[in-house]
Amino acid sequence: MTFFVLVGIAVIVGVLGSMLGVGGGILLVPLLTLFLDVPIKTAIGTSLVCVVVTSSASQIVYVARGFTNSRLGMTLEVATTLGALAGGITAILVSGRAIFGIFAAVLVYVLISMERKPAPPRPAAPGSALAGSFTDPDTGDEVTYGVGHLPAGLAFSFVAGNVSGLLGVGGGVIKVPVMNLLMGMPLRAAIATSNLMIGVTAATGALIFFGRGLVEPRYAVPTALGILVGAQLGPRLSGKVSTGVLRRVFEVLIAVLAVQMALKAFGV
Amino acid sequence: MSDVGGQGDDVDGPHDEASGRYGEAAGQARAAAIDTVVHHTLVAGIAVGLALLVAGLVLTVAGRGGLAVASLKVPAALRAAFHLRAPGFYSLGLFALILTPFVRVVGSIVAFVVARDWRFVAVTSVVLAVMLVSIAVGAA
Repeated sequence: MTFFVLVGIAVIVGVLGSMLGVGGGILLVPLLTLFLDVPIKTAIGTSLVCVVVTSSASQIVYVARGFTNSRLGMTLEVATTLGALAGGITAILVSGRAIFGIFAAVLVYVLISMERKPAPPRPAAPGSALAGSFTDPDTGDEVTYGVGHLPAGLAFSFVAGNVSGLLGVGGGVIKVPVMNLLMGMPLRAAIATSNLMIGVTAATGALIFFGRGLVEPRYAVPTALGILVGAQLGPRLSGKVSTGVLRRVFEVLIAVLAVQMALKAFGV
Repeated sequence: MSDVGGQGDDVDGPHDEASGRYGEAAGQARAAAIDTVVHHTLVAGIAVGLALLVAGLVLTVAGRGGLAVASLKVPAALRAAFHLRAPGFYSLGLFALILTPFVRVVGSIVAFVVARDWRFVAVTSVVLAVMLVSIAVGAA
């Protein structure tokens, strides 16, 4: 029975995630721990597998369209994987209640970042090894861009990786704004490149959890299958459901989960 | 090129001639080749992982082991799969899915070597090394 409940939850998370451009982990970990009483570290291991699967599946589309900047992605991955390694080790060592508390704080950050009005990006000078280009599918124009502020980008990438390995989320909520607003990448390229990094980062964390026996088939198999189905359904539904409505639903859900996770941190 | 070697890669610097080193057309052809490698790796990884998980479910339905078992280490999983026990397939399938980005990184290194792009061979190798450390930490 639990099998089908898990598949159902994962399908919904996959649909919401793919339609709103957020990873599933931010929803999956709270749902597994709060409603199915999955231990938090097992939930994180399960979620990391789902994040890897989602990233690989969407990357197939992004790479084919040429949005991904592999050179920049690989450079920033040095920082995200180191962060994920540190985060994964931390997750193994600290108490479950501490993880609940940090998770609640990150959920609040996600809420704030969704409400924030985006500042105009600062374009960087084109023409370096990390510069990129792609064809805009809406206009058919070739978009060429440069990449700036690499040291700061690396620092934020480390933090994003850390959050990923510690909490079992993708960390796109940190990476996309950093690449778009700080480093000057167009949003499309930033989303695709962030997605590429998420796969490698989450895999680094997942390898630690897998080795520790925290990726249990009874949770990971149904959720991985469900999230793949959901991620396929999401783009097909996107014309039929208003993104505005979906966004509100997501925000309310995040707010409720933030409160619940905070309560768990205080042992309530 | 003053920035070879990594230190102080001032990517937003004004040196436009930097792109000359990668030669517009040649650079784009290389990038396309790397993207193709990445693409095939991802498709293969997901296909193999999914196939193993589905095979596991079929075996469970056939009464050859359930889901409610702790995950197996790779050697034990291989043995179980060899005896057509479902838990072996589940653990191997999940491992294949997790390993997909790892194989993708290895593929990128090969692609950068072929392109003689040594700086990115180095960068990508560091990423691979960190992933190997995480495998070691998990196994420890």
